[in-house]
Amino acid sequence: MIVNILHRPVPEHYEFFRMQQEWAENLGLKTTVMATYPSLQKPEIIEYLKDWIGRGGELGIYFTELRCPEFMEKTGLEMDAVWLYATDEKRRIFELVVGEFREHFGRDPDALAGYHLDAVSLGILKELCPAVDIAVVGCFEEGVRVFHGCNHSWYLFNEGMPWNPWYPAKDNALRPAANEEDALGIVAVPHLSRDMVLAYEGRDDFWASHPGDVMRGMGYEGEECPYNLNLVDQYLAQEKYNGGFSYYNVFVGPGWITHNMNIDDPPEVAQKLHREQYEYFAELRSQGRLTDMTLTEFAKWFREHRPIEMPEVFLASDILYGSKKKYFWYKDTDMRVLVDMAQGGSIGDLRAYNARVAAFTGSDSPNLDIGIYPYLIQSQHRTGVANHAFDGARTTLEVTHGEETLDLCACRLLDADLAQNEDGYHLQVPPARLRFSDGLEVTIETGYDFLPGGRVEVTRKLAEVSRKDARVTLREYVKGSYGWTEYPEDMHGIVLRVSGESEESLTYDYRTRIIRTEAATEVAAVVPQIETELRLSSLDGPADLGEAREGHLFSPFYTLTMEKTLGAGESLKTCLSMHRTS
Amino acid sequence: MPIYAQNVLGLRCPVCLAREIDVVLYVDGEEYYCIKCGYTGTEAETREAYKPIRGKFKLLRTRVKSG
Ligand SMILES: [Zn+2]
Repeated sequence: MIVNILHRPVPEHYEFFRMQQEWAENLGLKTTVMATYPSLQKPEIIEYLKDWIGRGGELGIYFTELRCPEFMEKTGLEMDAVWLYATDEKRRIFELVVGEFREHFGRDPDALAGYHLDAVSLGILKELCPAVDIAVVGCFEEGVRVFHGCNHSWYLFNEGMPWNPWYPAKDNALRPAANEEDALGIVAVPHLSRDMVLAYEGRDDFWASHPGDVMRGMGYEGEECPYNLNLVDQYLAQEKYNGGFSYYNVFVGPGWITHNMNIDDPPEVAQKLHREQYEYFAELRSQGRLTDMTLTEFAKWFREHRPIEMPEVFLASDILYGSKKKYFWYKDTDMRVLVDMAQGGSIGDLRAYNARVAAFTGSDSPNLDIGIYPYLIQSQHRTGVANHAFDGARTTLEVTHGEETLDLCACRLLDADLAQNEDGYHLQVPPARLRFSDGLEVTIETGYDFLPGGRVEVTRKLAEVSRKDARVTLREYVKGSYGWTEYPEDMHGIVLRVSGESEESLTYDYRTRIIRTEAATEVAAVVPQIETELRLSSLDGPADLGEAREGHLFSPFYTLTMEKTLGAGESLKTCLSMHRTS
Repeated sequence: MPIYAQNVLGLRCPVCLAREIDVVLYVDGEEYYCIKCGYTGTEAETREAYKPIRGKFKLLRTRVKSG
């Protein structure tokens, strides 16, 4: 596992920054220091930083903590959130900060960072400092939950991005570039490594490689926090699925190891837990299981070892609640997919990177503060399996026998088998057993193949049927939407179509209409708002029936289904694919 | 400086926290109170109310084997 440790000096907590540096230095762990603008106003800190680079230390710039009297005086601005300024203001800020950095140190920064650096920010910064090759660009799955959790006053919306380092696209820093030509020309790393279960189910700023965050989430007791080390181990375990690659980073502001209004225990506890994380890194390094790098060392390593098109996966287990839940994450240049084992192995989150949705943030952007890469499915924000009223965005398999239909989402599966072959990754979901009210029992085996080009092949094998001659109907079910946050967007204009024995289409108008065809080969939803088409195709010959359903305002979704009536040993094979429409 | 910094200890509302919302409590004499919900309590009561928040984490004290 490769680890990056980043520290940033801020004047009001300078002694705690020095404490962090000292812990790392005593353990011989490499750090990258990211100067903040207020820290560049303090001669004492500049002296330290000069000495730091004199000793070969790596020094970059952190652009989120800007505010100080000098900043407000020189710019007339007051906001720390650099990603939310208009383009001209961003340029002014970057020129000011980079200019002063050069005056002090006689060189360009080695690296750049912000909670979020959007495409416009990175573009300007690359122009100002063309040699810089790495930046901290975004916070994985930070958005709706953190907005709520921080009293609706934290305007950082980064959902839908990669969890691990990536090559950002020119027109959207949170989207992995499709190829060299599409790439912005910098290596991006996330701000912290997040818990891949709890950052989806809850707040990413409670559950991360940030001991202060974990204290904020109450994931410790007294002075003990095994969770911090469990999370490291969880990331370490991903080497097995990613050709030996695993990445972890820590970037904790010094304000988290002093008095902090979101920590209900004395600073000494926060300091102990933070230090223990570093001690664990040192221990793993002595076992040969961890390599500490500076940011520029990592950028070089990443370019040499991880080509743009290389897919990446994360098999995540709950390490805090004890729920035994598992989520499988897949990411490549075309899509990001989440499979939820506890819901029978259904897709809980789906983003079409190959639609290449462009976005930047700032007061001059049509997106304003929303940097999120839009979803087609987000089961947490958009209902998922039915609870109160209708169900929402999700996938599942419906199994019908006589008048009765069972939903695979009710099967709590607690394991997953992951294999990599020359085509891509294959995820085998454990067998799911369903029992109908007349006593008929069936076993369904689900397999997912994640393929290049934004394609997910789904095989639903009717492995066992308790009555030999019984036939049941399997219906692949995809309920989609589109959006950025938890609120529904305008669905007008979405086109639903079915192809097979007949061809039909309708334009979404919230009228609960259904179109269907026998001998179905394809059903699809074209979402012009995000230039994305979501398609469900039948593999191994046409399906018996294909259907597309419009929703209504109390259920603003579209549903695509493909069904076949089968006997024991037979399979329903479909391909869920995403495409750019223009 | 935020107004609450003048009169609080750095205690968050246990009711809001159970909903994953950080709300720093205000204090009026001995009594802490929440601006966003109906919670009130002494410091001791508040710390007691954190217990069920931690209680839901069944692996809180466990080193988990991964992989
Ligand atoms: Zn409250």
